[in-house]
Amino acid sequence: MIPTQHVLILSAVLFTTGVLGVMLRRNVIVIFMSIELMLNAVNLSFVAFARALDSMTGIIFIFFIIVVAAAEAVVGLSIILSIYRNQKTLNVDEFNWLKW
Amino acid sequence: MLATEYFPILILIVLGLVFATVFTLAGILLGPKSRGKDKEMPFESGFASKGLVGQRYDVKFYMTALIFLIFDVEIVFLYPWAVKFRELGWFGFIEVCFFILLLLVSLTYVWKKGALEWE
Amino acid sequence: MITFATVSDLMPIIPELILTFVAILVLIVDLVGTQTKYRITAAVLSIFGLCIAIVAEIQLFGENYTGFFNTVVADEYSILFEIIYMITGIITIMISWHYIAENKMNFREYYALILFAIIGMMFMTSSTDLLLIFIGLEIMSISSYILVGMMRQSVKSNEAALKYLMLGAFSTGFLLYGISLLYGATASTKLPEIVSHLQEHGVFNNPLTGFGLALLVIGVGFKVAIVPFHMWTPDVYSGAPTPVTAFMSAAAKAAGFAMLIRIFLTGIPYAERWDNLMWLITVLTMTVGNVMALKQISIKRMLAYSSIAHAGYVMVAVVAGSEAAISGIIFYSLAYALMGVGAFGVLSIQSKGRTLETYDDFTGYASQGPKEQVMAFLMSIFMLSLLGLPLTAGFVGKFQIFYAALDAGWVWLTVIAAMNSVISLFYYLRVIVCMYMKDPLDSAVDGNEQPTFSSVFAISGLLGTAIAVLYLGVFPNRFVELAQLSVKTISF
Repeated sequence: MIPTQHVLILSAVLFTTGVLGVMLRRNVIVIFMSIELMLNAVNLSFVAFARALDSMTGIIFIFFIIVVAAAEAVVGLSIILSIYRNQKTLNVDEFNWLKW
Repeated sequence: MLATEYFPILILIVLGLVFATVFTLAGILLGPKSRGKDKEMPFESGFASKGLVGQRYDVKFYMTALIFLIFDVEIVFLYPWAVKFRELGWFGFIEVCFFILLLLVSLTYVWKKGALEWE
Repeated sequence: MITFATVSDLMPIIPELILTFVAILVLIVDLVGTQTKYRITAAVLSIFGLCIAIVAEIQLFGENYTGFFNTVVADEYSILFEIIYMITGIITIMISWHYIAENKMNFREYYALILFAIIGMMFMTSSTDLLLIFIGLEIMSISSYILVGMMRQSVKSNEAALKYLMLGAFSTGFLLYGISLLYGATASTKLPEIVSHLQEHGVFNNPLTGFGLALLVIGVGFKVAIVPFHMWTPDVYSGAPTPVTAFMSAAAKAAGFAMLIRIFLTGIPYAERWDNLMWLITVLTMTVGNVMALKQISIKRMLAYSSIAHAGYVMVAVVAGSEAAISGIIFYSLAYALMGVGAFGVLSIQSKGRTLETYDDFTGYASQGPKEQVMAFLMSIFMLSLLGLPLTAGFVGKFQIFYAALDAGWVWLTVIAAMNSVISLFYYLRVIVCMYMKDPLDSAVDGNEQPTFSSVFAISGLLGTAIAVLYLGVFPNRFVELAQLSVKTISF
């Protein structure tokens, strides 16, 4: 059986990768994928804790995170589509109506 | 006790930070950069994209995909119920029926809004 | 043995249920109704639903129902906050109708989304389980992402929505990671259990709990826009349709603070260094908000920065953390909800076909006609209240918070907060000076406007808000007592 620590370490690494991806990448879709990566890292750590503590709460939490992430993705993609229609680019550097 | 047990995580968060920075920076610094018409084009599963982006066909496809995504994920809530079907009994059944009813309402809404029309 | 929820568990969430039902009804009305008719029906239906829900809340007051294995509580604290959200919702809907018509905005789903956002806020406030708080938070956030991007043809609105969504989802990641670490350390997501675990074992003896709480602060800090997690506020507030900005600055912020109090101020034992960190964040929030507000050209952006400054004043009370301070937060949330929604509301009403946004647009505003005179007067009331002039709600709120902070021994913090209030004098008064003491820039715009029913509706909503601001400033006692009473229900 894989020790809990190892899973937690993986989740921490994935989470930081996601955070850095959001901060460094310039394409909206890639930023979006990084955010999803962060949420999935959280899911992983919930799984690890739920197994270690032998408790169902963590598992239930994951179900809701999955659904919320999907809802966020749908709304996000719709907004991106709407932006693409107006601007014809997905590079955040070129979105300069409001300063970043 | 717990402090020593989980302390490596903190170290590894730092390590992860370093690794991710190094690799991302390496990509930015070393990798070739191309910014141009081709790079900004949408991917279309291997085909060269042709035609205008604002084509109607594209949008319809996109809409269906989004709606599929959201309804598909809702299934996740049915799994726990399916696993514990017997223990939950009528209570679970009524709860799930209510849940499905809400989904049906939203499906009707989507339908009536014309989001499912292909043409 | 599985224990089931029963029908009596529904008691504490009756207002939420009513609102959910009305929101779905509003959506369905959209399907059957025609364009113009729907617009009126949906607005009226939403306001009606909110009124019924407020009545239901008042009925629940003092009963202290709990449900769903103590995860949802209808204590006085949450009821007061929920009433604040719903009042804000009513005012927002009153001003939105006019704005939507004037800007030919896409209005479908608009009212339903506002109701859904309020439902999310209510769950955020009334729950004591981090799972349910998270779901409430997301219901609120996702609805407001869409509301911000509601003007689909406007590039600014699009970008504001995208930015809000990106940073909102980003902060949600931190919040969730914090929750998962806390869950790992305490084996529970229920706040009372987490708090008792932390009281027993201490916060900083285990890196998991300390780190988890820090991540939670980041996540919550984004939502209430405290420095250094405030970057999104000015852009999102100025890009969003103005009624939506009004709604977010008032209700969403109050909800964020309600959540913050529920999570952080109900008994988690903090160490000295934690207090120092919060102190620093508070000072930064006030100062950055006020200084940046000084140099804005656009009043909408200025108000956005000033909302950061106001979050700073509330943080003063959070740092103080005493019962008096929390009741001060409740009162301040109500006061700020009214002033904020009012100030942005004035901006949302066009004058002679022009959108009002910058100081230039407001130059000589008071002398441009009878409607403009009324609006300028209302704007002055809101500005003076935001400034914290006596006899306005803003004064009572600020007074309570500063007094509580002094009482808890935070002298320097109070002094800095008072100095910040002085800075804010400049930009709030500048609006009034612009409106009353200068001549209009372009005299070309005149001619009579026929007052439409929707504009009268919007202005009467703002008038009610202004009266409420003054009423709270002159007779605050009953509300202060209510706030003090409600604080008793949350301290474990």
